Amino acid sequence: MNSLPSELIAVEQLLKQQESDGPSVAFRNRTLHAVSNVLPTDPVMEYQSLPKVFCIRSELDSVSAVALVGMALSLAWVWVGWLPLQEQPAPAEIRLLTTLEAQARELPSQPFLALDVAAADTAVPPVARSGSEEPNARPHILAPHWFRHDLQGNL
Amino acid sequence: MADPLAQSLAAGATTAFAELYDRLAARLVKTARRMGCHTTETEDIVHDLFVTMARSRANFAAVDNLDAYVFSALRHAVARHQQRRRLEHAVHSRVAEKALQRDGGAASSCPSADESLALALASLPLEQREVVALKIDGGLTFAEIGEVTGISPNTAASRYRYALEKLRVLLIDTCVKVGENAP
Repeated sequence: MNSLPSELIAVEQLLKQQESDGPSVAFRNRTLHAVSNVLPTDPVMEYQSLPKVFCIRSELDSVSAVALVGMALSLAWVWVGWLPLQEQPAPAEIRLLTTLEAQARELPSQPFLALDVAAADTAVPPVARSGSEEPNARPHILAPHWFRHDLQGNL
Repeated sequence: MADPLAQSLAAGATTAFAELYDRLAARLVKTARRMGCHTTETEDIVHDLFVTMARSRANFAAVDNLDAYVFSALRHAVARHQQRRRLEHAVHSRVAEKALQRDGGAASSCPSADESLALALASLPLEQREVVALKIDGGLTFAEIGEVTGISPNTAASRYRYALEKLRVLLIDTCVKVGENAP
């Protein structure tokens, strides 16, 4: 392919002998500095620093493992304790029954809780009928009516 | 088979780029200069070429012929540079041809061999000049030149031969005695 006649080989030699300076050392330094600025990190240095990172992490693991386990147990304890609270009614649904009467009116059909409120309110103790201004205070006891009748019977 | 240096370059190793520079930089500078760039322009082109290659270093992973790849990048860089100053280059070529035609037989007005060679090269068509530069200064084979320029190896060899023949005629016309330095 390159079987040139002698006169063309002479031209080729003339071209090869032509003086031409190569790049200077300063140019080399400038170019390689620009190249190193473009490269984000040196992968060789990155590879060499890898075992050091692993050493630091292994030391940290032994210390932090206990803390992590403790933290996990604390979270589990809080979570287990919080679950039953979910089954309780919301505060807005809790009605405050301040008096025994109000509570009794709310539950008239419950035989074990129903009190004979009207009879209890109108019934006047014998002492009051005899002229005492201040009747004896009856105990406000929420109790089944049979138990109350027993009490009245005893009275 | 892929060049192992290409794999290191793709990985972004600074030492690999230094090795690539030491392997090709001198040839790149001379080739760019032979293609018609001035000295300062040539250094800028090669400098920017290395920075660009470092930025797009991932492309090295798929490179089979590293030399051909880098010289191909150089060729594109030179072409872009010369496109910017195409008018100036055209004027330079016309001046070179006139200088070669002027007083060709007068011994007293003969330019030096280097000047005559530079003027003769400047008068070559761009396709022939870049083949001469890649062959003489780049040290590439015709197969690699074909890979760089996108032509067949036979076409590259033909362009090289035509370029040498034209140079010989031009140098004879400018009183350079071709063959006196030949072995």
